[in-house]
Amino acid sequence: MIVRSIRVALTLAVIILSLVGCVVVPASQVQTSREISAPLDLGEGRKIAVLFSSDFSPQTSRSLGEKMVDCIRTAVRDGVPGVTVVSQEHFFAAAFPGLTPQQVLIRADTIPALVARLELRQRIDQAAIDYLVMVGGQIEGQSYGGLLAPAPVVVGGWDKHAKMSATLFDLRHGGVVGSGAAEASGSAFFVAPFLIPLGGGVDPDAPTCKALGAEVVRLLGGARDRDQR
Amino acid sequence: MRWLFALVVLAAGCGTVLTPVVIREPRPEPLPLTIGVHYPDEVRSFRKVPVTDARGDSANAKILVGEASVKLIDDALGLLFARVVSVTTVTPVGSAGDGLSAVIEPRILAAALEVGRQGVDDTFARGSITYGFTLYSKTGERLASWTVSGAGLASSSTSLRDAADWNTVRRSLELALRDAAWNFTSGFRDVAEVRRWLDERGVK
Repeated sequence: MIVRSIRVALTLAVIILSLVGCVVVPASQVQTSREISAPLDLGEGRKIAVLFSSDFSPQTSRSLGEKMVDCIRTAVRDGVPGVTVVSQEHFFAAAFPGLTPQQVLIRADTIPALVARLELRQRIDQAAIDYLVMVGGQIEGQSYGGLLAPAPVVVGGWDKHAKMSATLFDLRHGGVVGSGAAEASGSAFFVAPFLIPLGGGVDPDAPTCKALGAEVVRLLGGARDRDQR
Repeated sequence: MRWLFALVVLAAGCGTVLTPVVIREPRPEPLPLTIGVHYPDEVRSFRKVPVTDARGDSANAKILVGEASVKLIDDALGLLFARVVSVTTVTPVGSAGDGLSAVIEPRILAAALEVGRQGVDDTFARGSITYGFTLYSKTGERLASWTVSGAGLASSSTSLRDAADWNTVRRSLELALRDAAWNFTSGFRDVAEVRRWLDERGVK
């Protein structure tokens, strides 16, 4: 009888802990903000470029930067029909033909100087790219773990804080016209008796990234709403 | 320390080759002058870079910083000046000195690498380099002397214990060299002694 009860309890524990592993940060727990410092003017059929550059955001890892670019691209494609998001390759080929991204310094202080040059101005106009979205962010946190000796049980986990942002530049003059940000925290914990991992937690990366995409859509959506009025 | 040593061993052998690039946009306004450039032997042969980890442990890595710097500075001077001529001394005589407005001599004052962890998943490498530049007249008179530094940060999602992560370390130093070259080209006209020399030649 006792053995059966223990078996049932263990089975329930495994099911509950497995379910806990599926938890993600609810959208409401991701804090977002956005700011528009100048009116946007984005017409039907126009284009925006979304880039990650370690020059613009040195603290951002390449993998996180590329993730944010994907999130914004997906969000704009789904949320702002009629506006095309051009890839980094397309942007550099159109604006800086013959140069690699490493040969171009794209930072807040260099963008106005770059777009002020007549030949570059003409190439950007020809490509119909009106805005440039630059991403930046960091995942901060710490992990821990250890063995609960003498029992053969390994415990561990991590705490994370994801912070992501997007800055919108108007390529007609190079100035910042808006920005959006999203951040969230999460943690995970696991126990591995006899090296069988059980546990779960909340990973803030994906929901924060998705929320950042939504913020960029809202920034651009403001322009579309005005155009349609 | 053990893995830092492993990293450094990975970089041993003939030494790690660096391929930094020069920033071409925004481009500097080219000066209508011909400059001579002289690289001392210690610049070309510079290849010992201290690598420090988060605990302060340190080991030297063999990285071909000198060879990369010569190519980088040649490219940077090519953006700044109408013509660049390589010379074997700072006081070139005869035809070697014909048409030269001045001779510039670069030196590598320091190069360093720092590796560590950031966040939960990422590791980072931070590279730095400092160059010293001296501008000489054709007769060997010192016209200007200044330093230029560059820093580069590269991160990766894999452990620095992995061999593949030497690429992150190398990239951080390549970015540092690129940054230094940018600071050199963008700040050249702002060095007071250089500005005075250009003014004397009627160059804006």
